[in-house]
Amino acid sequence: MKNVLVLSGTASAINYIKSFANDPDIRLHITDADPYCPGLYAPGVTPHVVPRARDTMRYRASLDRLLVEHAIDVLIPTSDYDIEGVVHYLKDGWVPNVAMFRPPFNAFAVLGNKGRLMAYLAQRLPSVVPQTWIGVERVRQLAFPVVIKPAGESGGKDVTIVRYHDDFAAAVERIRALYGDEFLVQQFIPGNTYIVSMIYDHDGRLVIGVPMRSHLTFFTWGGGGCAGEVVDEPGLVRLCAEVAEAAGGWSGPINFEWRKHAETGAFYLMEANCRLNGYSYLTTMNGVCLPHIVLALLTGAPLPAVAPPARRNRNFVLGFRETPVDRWVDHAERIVA
Amino acid sequence: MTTILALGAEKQAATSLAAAYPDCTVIFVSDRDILDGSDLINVRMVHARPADAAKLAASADHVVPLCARWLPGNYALSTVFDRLERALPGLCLPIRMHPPSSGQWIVKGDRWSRPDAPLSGDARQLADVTDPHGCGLVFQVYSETTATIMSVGRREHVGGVHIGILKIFQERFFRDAILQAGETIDAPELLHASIDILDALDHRGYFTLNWVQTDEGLRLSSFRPIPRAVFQSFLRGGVDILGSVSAVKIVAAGMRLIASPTYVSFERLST
Repeated sequence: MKNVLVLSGTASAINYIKSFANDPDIRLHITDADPYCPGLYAPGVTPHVVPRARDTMRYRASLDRLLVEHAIDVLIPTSDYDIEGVVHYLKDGWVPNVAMFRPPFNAFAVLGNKGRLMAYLAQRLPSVVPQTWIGVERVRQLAFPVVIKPAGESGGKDVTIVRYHDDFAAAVERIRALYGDEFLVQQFIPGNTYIVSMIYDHDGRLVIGVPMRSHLTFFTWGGGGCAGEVVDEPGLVRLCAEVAEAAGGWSGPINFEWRKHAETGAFYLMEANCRLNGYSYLTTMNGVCLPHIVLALLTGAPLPAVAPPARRNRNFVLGFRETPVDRWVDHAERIVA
Repeated sequence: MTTILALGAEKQAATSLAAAYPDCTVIFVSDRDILDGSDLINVRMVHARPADAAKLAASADHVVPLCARWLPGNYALSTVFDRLERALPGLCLPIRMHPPSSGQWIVKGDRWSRPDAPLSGDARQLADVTDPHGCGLVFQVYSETTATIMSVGRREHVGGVHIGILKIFQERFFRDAILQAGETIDAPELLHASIDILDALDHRGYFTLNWVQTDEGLRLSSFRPIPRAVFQSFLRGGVDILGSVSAVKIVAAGMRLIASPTYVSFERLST
């Protein structure tokens, strides 16, 4: 029996939960700062409510307690905030006695921030980078529409598409009120959104990359996908590998979000997220269980078989279904360090 | 077999309805071509437009509108709140057609809920907000709140209401507003205020009243003529929202619900 601790109970964690929760060889522990997070109520999981990951000292102390008290064997962070916290702890010398990926900090510093990633790649892979402005002083040079987005968030949070110059100032005022100067302005790329979820081993070798395409987005203007399918785009996987290599290499799960230009067919990189993508359960539905590949790499077990691309033909739509629960996660399960 | 017509089935409440009434045929009607629910054996899906609603409704035992877009009456927030301000002054958070130059405001859909994440700010920060969905825009005072509570149910006449009072722990806003976590509570004061509002409007049909706790007490922030994704929980709490309404029936306190992410395959509805 392995004790597996998955940090966060939503988005990409859902893939881990659905893949591991009924495995008799796994005792699955799920954390989240939100006591009403759905993953905490999934059948077969042991829930823990922890401080917010950006409350770094308390969060780290609560992690240390959980690792010891529950004899955790494997640690898998799955949200951007969890990964940011864990990568910084590792850089500061944290050496937990668990199996986990330890990606290079410098690569995370580039990949985990949209502004830095675009600036970095503009020198190394300029063909995949949409025109990007950090700061608004050069706004007079912009060709509208443009996208205004926070540098450190994902999933379409607080993104605005600005179609006309006259609307630009209000959108900037709004994002500045939330993020200060931590935002960027980017060329709007018309077209469909693609995601490639990838897994690298401990030595930085690519194990698998699965490309997907959205049919429906969370927001009417775009954002993350809530319906889609797996696609066969080996060229896009190679492009992702080039981006990861240019950023300094990777270890563990990562995903890259792209827009395929509706007119030219060229792929433009939107962002990287140092985890599986939010709807990566689609891959499991299609016989490619990325969580089990992650677990095998962490535990030294043989890699699971995967379905060939030609058989990955199930699409998905995400629903949020009313689910009665008997009780809320109670105080005994809330870890306050 | 009883047939329930769910109008605007792209909403979260559609699968809640189908799961709560497994012995009924539930027809999901939507003008969107990708819907959740294909795995539910009592669900059929039909692509249609709001203009087709009356024709489709003629052959159903129950018609449940899940989005005000599918209803013919005037349920605009601006109209309803204007009536309520005259009938029950001070109970509603004020609505404006344009944001005044001072203060913080939140943008809302007038005739139905505006999709996507809420937008708030001062008049300058909201100057670029447009209405691509045609719901109409109104602006409401944006104030710090300590709690959100919903009254959800169906009223058919004076003294005939099926209702539950739900404390909302989390709501998420995408294309649709997702009821993420909540629990029914015993709140007599809010129950009576909700019934007063429904009586003042002489509202007939489904409803969701959104209440917020402010420094000045509970205020109504929204009224929509639709239910939310609570059907199973309300049945567990002893109230069948669809059932015959002859008295005031109240959902028992302590019914807890979350929204679970669910992945199913889909076939596009033909247009």
